[in-house]
Amino acid sequence: MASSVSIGAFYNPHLALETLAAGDLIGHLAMADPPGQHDPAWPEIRARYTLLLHDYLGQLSEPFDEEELGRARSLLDQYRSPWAAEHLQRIRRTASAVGNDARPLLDYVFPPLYTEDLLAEYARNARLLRDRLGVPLAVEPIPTYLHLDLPQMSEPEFLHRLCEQSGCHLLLDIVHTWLSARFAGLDPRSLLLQLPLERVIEMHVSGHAPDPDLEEPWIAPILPNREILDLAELAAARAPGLRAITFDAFSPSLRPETLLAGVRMLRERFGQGG
Amino acid sequence: MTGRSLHDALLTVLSDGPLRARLLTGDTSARGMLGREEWVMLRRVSVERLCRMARFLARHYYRERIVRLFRHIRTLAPHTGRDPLAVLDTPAGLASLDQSVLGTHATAERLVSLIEDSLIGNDAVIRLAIPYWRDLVRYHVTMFRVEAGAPLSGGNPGGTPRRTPSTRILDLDWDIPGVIADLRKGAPPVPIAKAAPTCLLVARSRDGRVTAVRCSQDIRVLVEAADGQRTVDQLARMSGLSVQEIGGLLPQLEEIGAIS
Repeated sequence: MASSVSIGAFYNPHLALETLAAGDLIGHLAMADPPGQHDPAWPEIRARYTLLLHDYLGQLSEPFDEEELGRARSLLDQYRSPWAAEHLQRIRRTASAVGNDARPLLDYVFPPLYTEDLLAEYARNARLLRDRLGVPLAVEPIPTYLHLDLPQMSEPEFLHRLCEQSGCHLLLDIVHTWLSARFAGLDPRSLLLQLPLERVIEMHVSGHAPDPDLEEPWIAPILPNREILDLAELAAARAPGLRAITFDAFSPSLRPETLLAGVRMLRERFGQGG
Repeated sequence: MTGRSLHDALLTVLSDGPLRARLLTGDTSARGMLGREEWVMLRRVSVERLCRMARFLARHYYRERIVRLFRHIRTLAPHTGRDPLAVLDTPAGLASLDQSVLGTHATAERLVSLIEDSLIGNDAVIRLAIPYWRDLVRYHVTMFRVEAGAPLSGGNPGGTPRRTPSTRILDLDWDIPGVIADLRKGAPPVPIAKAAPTCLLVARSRDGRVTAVRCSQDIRVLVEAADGQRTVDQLARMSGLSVQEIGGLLPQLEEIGAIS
């Protein structure tokens, strides 16, 4: 893995002081939300860190209007983000089918179906967004817990074709991949190696914990275990375009010691222990 | 049937508890809402996983709102032993999640009633230590209700000022904005409040942001009287504010979503 790969974290505004006090430990900050109007640390955060625009628009299956594109562009400029990332998700229905109500129905990530018609729409809108933003666009796949008995592509095939058709990159969340494999009854390493790893520009690494509703593990803002770190290392070794690894913990309840330990753990694993 | 139409139907079923129940019991009246082929396809999904996923998504939806809109009650949880999030794990809370229609006023109302009951039930000991406890609960409950109200639609350009449907006036016995300012500093374990009649105007802006601001008697009269029929001159006479003062206030009230 290239030593120029940045190791960073998500910006958790309630941990701004601890983040700033960590010196050079944190190389970049991914931004899950736009900065708060009354965040006193924001000017210094913006001045000190490379900031990564993450999941601002929310759903690539629908066309964007000029206002949305303008807001994304403005945020990208504010962050000086070298690339933008969007979840490969679908959380709102077709507006024309529900009285033009374009509000998200869900407040959480949820994957699309990997069908031909949705692939064409994701590819078209991703290409348009990338062109309008003028920076690389990375898509982050979401694990599929609920499988439908429908002829559709596998996740790797959908991602290969989406990246090819749209020119997009991949934001590879290692726990997502681990969960996708588990829910599909596959070996995580084997699934990982089927993905278009040559397109990976950023990687997310975090932990997972049992979820009482799903009765399965789900992503959690905790430290990754050895299996996840091994998987991350495997991916990084096959991702020549990888530029950033982010400790993927974003939560109002996140403790500063967890944030810093997560970044240190990634630095140690990826040979940047300093 | 396309991937898009099926996914639309899936999102609908995951976010609408009563509709999901009709699908799972084979009630064919749901077919029209989902599409015939989509209905058949969704009937083949694992019932257990569909219900688990729906509860998971509902929990995320409402947990985010409870964390954000009951923030100060949760800050005091170590002193009160009452965390509104705990409601989601009670039998009534779980039933509400399973029957929820995400984003609707009815579901929000059911949940916030459960939360309010859990916070103020048998709270005599809490009120001894935190005499403004019930006012703080009322403040957060109102914030939750206002956010769940009907979204602002359309505008009223050039029209007479009209109070928006979700706007609330909240009368409190304690200076809750002062308590919140102290809680935001994070320093004192339990802020001291002064007993002082306090009126707050709570409103939701066009982009969904809920704001609570102190409200004087004349502004209260202005907001309550702004029914979309009365002119600014009439509102001035009723509120005791000058036409110029109202002219200065209206843009601010429009910005927070109290007036359209």
